[in-house]
Amino acid sequence: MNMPISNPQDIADAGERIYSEKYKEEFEKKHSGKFVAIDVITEEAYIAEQPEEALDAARKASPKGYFHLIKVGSPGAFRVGYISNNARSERLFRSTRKSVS
Amino acid sequence: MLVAKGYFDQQGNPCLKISLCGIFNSDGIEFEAIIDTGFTGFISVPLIRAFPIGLPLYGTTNVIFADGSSGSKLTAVGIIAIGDRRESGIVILEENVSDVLIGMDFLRTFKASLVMTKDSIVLLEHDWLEQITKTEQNTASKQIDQSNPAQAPKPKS
Repeated sequence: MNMPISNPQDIADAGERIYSEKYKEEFEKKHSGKFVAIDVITEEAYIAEQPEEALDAARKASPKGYFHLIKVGSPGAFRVGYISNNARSERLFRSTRKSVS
Repeated sequence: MLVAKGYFDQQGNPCLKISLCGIFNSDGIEFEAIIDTGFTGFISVPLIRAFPIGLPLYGTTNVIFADGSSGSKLTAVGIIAIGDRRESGIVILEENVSDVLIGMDFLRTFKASLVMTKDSIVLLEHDWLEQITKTEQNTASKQIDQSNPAQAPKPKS
């Protein structure tokens, strides 16, 4: 792992970075629409048809892991029917440093 | 056949009484959940209302909002109980909302079909609804065959 985990945004950022660098190209060709749980400590990916299956597999393999859930080919694992005007102001996800590009 | 019966709240939202169970509350805490078919997940709960339940955290995920933007959320595992039925799934913990939402993954996990009219909401077992649909289709095709025998499929020789 390249960076320390000190808040939830770090998990999300690390998960997106690991996925983008190691798995995205292959998974988008072979597993579009499936769910991937990225263990941001080991950088392992656990893929399944359903989101709970991916996270269950990740938890079993790595009980001490921190996981970021991704839907292959989508910018988010889930859609919600509302607009979040204050999503960026959520305190838990307020990054304390520059995000990794 | 019937999984649960819902209702409309004062704002006209389709709602269902559910219990969300965790470590501190294995019997669950009851919530009025809005049935949101625009939400693809299992359940979304305001973070503050999840405190007394004791939900084990998984990590994070990104969600896509209605305007196409996305944001990160905490995820946990939780069990929803409706009557005797209990199913586990991913709980999205929201910091800045007040409503509990149940979405399409809730229907999938409970193998339920949602039937909504202007003044009633029922969740039916999916298999039961599929059976009705098939029966209706068979009846309709038989009626077509009888009314127009020329177009009926010929038996294989």
